[in-house]
Amino acid sequence: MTAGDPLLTVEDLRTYIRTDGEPTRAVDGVSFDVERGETVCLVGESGSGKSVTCESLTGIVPQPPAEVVGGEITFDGTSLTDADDAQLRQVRGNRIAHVFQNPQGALDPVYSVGEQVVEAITVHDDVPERVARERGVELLREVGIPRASDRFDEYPHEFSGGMRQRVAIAIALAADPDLVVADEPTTAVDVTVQARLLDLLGDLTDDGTALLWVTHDLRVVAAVADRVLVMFGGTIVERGPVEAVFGAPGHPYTQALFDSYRGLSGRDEPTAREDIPTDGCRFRGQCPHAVLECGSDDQPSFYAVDERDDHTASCVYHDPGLEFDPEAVMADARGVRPDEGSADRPETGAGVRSEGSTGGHPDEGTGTRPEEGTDD
Amino acid sequence: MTDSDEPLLAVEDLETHYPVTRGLLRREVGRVRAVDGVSFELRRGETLGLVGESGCGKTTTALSVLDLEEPTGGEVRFDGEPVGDLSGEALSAFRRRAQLVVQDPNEAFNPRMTVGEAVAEPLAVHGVDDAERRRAVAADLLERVGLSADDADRYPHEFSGGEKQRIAIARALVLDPDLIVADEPTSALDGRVQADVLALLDDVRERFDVSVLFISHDIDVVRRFCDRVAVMYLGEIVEKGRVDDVFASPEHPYTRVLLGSVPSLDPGEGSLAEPLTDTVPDPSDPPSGCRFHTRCPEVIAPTDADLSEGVWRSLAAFRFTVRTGELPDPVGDPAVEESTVREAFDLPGSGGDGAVEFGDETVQQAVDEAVAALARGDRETADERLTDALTTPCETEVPAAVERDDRLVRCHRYDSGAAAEPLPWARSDE
Repeated sequence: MTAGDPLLTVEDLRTYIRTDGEPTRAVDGVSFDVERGETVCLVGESGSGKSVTCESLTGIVPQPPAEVVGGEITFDGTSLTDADDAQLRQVRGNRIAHVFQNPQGALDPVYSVGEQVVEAITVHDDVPERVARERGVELLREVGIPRASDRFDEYPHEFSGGMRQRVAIAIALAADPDLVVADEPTTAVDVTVQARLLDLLGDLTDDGTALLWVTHDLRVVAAVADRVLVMFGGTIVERGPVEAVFGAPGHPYTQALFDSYRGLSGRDEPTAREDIPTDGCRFRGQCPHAVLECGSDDQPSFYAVDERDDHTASCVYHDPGLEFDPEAVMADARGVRPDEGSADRPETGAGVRSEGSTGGHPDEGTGTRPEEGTDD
Repeated sequence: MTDSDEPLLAVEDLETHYPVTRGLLRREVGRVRAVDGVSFELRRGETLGLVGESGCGKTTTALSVLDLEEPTGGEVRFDGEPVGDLSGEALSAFRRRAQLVVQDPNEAFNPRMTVGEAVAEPLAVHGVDDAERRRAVAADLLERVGLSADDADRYPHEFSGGEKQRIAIARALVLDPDLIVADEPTSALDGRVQADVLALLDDVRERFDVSVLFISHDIDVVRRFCDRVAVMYLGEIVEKGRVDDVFASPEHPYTRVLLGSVPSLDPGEGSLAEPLTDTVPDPSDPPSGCRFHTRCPEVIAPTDADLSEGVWRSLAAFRFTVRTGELPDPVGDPAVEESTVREAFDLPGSGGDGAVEFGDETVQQAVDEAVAALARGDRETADERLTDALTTPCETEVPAAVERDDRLVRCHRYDSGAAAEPLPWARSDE
């Protein structure tokens, strides 16, 4: 929208979670931008690190056990990584607001909805009670709560789930933030209610508010996103404009996500979190096309998908310098079971899978699980 | 199991009402009609999906079918036998043959029992005394659902959600049932894990020859997994039929709203369906006639009024919003400008001076009076005026079930001699 720097820049963010043994690399080298007035969706399944990424932005991730061990977060020209608590508090709510999946958790049951909206207003803007109240009613009205002035003094339990989420959104909007970070805001409600919330949140960006929207639901992404970031195992694996990513998903993981919407074709065995490698391509253990190159130390670089510079995937198959014919290989990836293989790639299948995994991990037993008991 | 045409499960006019009581004497002051006259059949080897918003009675239906919740009316027949009459050995046999898988696998297990014990427990309950044999059966089942026999000695917390749901399925299978009632079995799981569990259930129903009653609010999952589907709204089934037919061309307006609310996977298709009003009525006081009429975008115009479709729809939205009292602010305040009221509901200006904006004088007058009443803060009068002038056939009569080709729809637009034709359905989906 505006010329110049993006509103939010995240560079090589790493947030690890301390455990008894090796720390869990919840977010492991994530970089992305959010422009003003733009909706960016962060897609992935539970444990992919999408929520921790968002919580790391404003330091609301519980530390310890989590720890931001590296990276740079710049918001509107100022570094959030170097900011102290007081500065972060200024940014939170005022400039960056959060909306969570479960509005019950976000609202305090012993205060009326109005008091909580007013609090959000007065914390960030020193106005008299009366003005704050007026503005609060206006906010509830804007988020579509009927009888807003009557309901202002009611308590959260008197609201339905969808209405509670609207209140949470009103609170997030209280200080007129530049960026709203919404973590699965419609996951706990019915589709009919979700449709209304999608419309409501979609309208936000019309007046220049940017949205960073976390979800596991590709349909929600299709409805709201301008750009998509797909996360797996703490890394971003694919990024691009929504129509590009949905039109031709480039990363095998993204393709698997789409497949899960289309057919019943499940994997033979589920993969546990601990089986996801912490180097190279994190998806290689579950990838029908993995090769030795997938197991290098670093995450594969981002290569253009379908020669679009703005649509990239972190997958060696899109590396123009490698000798695969990406079209031949990736074409059979969509919706086709891996064991059918393709003529040009005799090494597709379980054999490659073990090579990919154990090759990258001589010291760990990660390669064993996917193969055992796959065939009856 | 038998070769008769008798469906495995036949549910007829099932009613499960919960009393609402008040005071020391627990006087009954009302009834929540959670399930109110539901009929369906589940044929052998078939999967029937039950869909609807939360609170529509899906789960109560499931529990009533299993006799875990006692129905207040109607009949459930399992393999020809009325379930309500079963006792002793026959009831025990029914409990063996009909199993339940619940939504949250975390709640489904005793944390102090190994999963092997948990899976084998139903065997012990139903009289398999040989511990070695129980163990062997449990280990075998764990392998069949994609885990290993060694997992039998681990505890539930050592498994992920998807794995726990697999174990729950193993436990449901251990008595070799004919029916599995699955209540939102994949709702708590991620997309790919969901696909895995569905694939497992699919495999299981073929290999073990079980019928499945599948309860879900997830349209995608039902589309993929079920043969037939029944759509519930406020305790009633409004439409049922083959999944392919119902989802390709939904007939009941509620089904259309439900399917139309699911965003398309095509980023270009932005518009989502909108009901006429958002407020879901209280199930203890459901609307008369067709229960969906207060939210129905296709509610039928009064036969004696001369209104265009568009005008009628905005008037209907006005009327049913006034009825619920969920007025958009500031309309609910005492003393607002009439113009504010008109603006809030997208109503044209006052007819005044004999100018009739709606094309119908009686309606015009009623609307003007209702707007004036609302501006004074008198909602009741407004409601009365609108009800008098704008009574829809949908609220006066309960729609009959119209049945043809394994399809049933309960909507006045499909009655023979209906006041209005069905509207075309236009939405292409993948």
